[in-house]
Amino acid sequence: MKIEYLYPEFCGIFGDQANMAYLKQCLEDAVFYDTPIEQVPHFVEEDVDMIYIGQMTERSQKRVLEKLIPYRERLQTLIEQGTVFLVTGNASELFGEYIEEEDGTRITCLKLFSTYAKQDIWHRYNGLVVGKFENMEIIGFKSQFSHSYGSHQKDAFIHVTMGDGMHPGIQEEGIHYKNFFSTYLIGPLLILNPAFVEYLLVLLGVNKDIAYKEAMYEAYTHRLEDMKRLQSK
Amino acid sequence: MFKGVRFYIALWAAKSAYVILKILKRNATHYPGWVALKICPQFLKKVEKPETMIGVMGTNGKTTVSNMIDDVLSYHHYVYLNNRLGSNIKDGITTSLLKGCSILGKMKYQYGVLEIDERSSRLILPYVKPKYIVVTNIFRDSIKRNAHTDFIFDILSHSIPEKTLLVLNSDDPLSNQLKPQQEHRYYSIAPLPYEKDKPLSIVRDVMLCPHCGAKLQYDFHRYHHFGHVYCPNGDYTSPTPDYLIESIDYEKENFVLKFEEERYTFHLVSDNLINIYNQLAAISVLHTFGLTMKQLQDAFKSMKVTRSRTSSFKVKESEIITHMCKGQNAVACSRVFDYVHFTKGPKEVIILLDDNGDAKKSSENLNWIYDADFELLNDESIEKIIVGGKRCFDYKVRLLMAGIDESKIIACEDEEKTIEYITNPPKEHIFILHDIWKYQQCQTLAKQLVERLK
Repeated sequence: MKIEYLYPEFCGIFGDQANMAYLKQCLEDAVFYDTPIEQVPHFVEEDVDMIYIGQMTERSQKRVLEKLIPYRERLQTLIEQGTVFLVTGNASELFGEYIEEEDGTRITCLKLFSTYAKQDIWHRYNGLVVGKFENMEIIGFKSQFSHSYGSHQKDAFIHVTMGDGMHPGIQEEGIHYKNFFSTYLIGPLLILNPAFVEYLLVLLGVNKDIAYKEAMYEAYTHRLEDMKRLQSK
Repeated sequence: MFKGVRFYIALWAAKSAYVILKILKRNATHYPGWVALKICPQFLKKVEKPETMIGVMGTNGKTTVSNMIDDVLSYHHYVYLNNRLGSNIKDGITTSLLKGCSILGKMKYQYGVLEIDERSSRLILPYVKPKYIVVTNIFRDSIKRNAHTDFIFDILSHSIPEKTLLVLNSDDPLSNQLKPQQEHRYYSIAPLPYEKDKPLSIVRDVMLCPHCGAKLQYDFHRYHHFGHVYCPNGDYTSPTPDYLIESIDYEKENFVLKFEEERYTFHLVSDNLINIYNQLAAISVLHTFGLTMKQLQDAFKSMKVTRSRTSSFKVKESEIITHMCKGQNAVACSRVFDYVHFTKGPKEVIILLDDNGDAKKSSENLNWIYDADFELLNDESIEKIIVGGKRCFDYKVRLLMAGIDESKIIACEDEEKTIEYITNPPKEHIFILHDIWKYQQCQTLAKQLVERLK
């Protein structure tokens, strides 16, 4: 199995890099490519089973787009053929139409999904999220300068029951299309959600226990209870 | 010069608020400034400032550096304005300045030392223009407030006044790039014999040459993005330091500082490298300000780091050390973990990092713990780690991820009960690492632990 982490030197701030660190501990036999920005990604020349990209700075978004736009067609092919994609934080914006900066400048994105993002640098948004995906309750955190708009209902990843979706006031969070998952949730999404890791492992054709299963579920259960207590207030 | 009726009403109202709060024994470090700005939004612009000001900024260490500067100036009988007991955001700086003015608005002090919050600097520095600003570093901080280093760097780049002389850390390839067209002095610590050249750091916020975008190379890599860097295309290199700590003698508790080919021996205020950087920053800016090396050597002779940061208790053959770990700040915590890691001898560690506010009212975002180097606690000399508080189960997972054996980890929801898990007879060192707001609580816990271990 091959798992590619795109640009870990930029795309893993806010603890997002821990998603791959954790998968490495779950999948000891898998090959993990940590692809730096100056290198051609492995997915260009070979099929990989999973691609991960995480939260980055707004400046890094431009740098990463410059690298990924030439591979737009290939990324589309991989999404259509069912490669697993996990995209966290503002990396999710790169797969939409464009990012609008505060002065109205539009940064062209990969245009693989019909969403667009708007930045608001002086009003940072922080939030907690509980939401449903299939039979799971997903928990997570948001901390961002931008929100996404546009078509979102059909392919929403998480139906939020506490907190906000892709922009304040809606319940649809992220995109789930085939095996592509993107969300504004930042940080160690997988570590916070052991059931979702188990779900991903099934998608990857792996039949084994996740690492530190008991401790992970213990932490998850306490966190979910905590969040539900807040929700009921 | 008459500053307008509104200004004087604001000044008198704020001064009255200050007096009333003091009579009520309340903390009057923020509200008077808020009152002044509410009545006169131009108050910060109009209020008189000390003629010569030193600003202290940076993600980590600015409070310690400000305190050191204050202590040195007091030692030499300078009379100056400061915000040592106040807040470092706009309202707090305003409070400090209005306190320093007479009721007619005349500034009473010639000198000022102000610790200034980086994020708030865009609201402060257009009106408060320090002659000198020392920047300790720029690191990843609380993401909820400070987002990331690009954000903070851009704020500082736009806010720092053009005529300010900057005293910067040459070893920080991020903050040493601030305002390259301005006058600078740089400070640095040379590689030390015990330091590994390939540090165990998750966070590294500077990777590329600011000019050509090539991947930066290191002559010496200390931790995170700190070190002596160069661009392989020759477009950037760490600046040559004016103030260089050449060597540190931990046994004799001193270090040798080189300045213009002369060498000066200084008493070491703390054996923790982050505090040695803080001391060096204070020395560099105060020397730039005009104190002589002799004055600085004398003032630092008997200085200690403020007690709220670290304290020590002896019991039997053991030492209990409480150490502040700035929660939500991965780099600050990593540096403390590094200190624990390098402390020789068997030890047990209590970790109390829950945010008190979030523990009561929210569900704390703990993303930052995956940026912090808990791997430094994966060491044979650390025989037990007790994590306390509501989020102890999240910390347990983090410690497992760091490769620490589960048998060494105890998760205890009740912070007060964590000390019950410390082994008796005690190990050589017992560390209590605590969040910024838990100082008093941990002093009590340490004293209870002393009684229990006696």
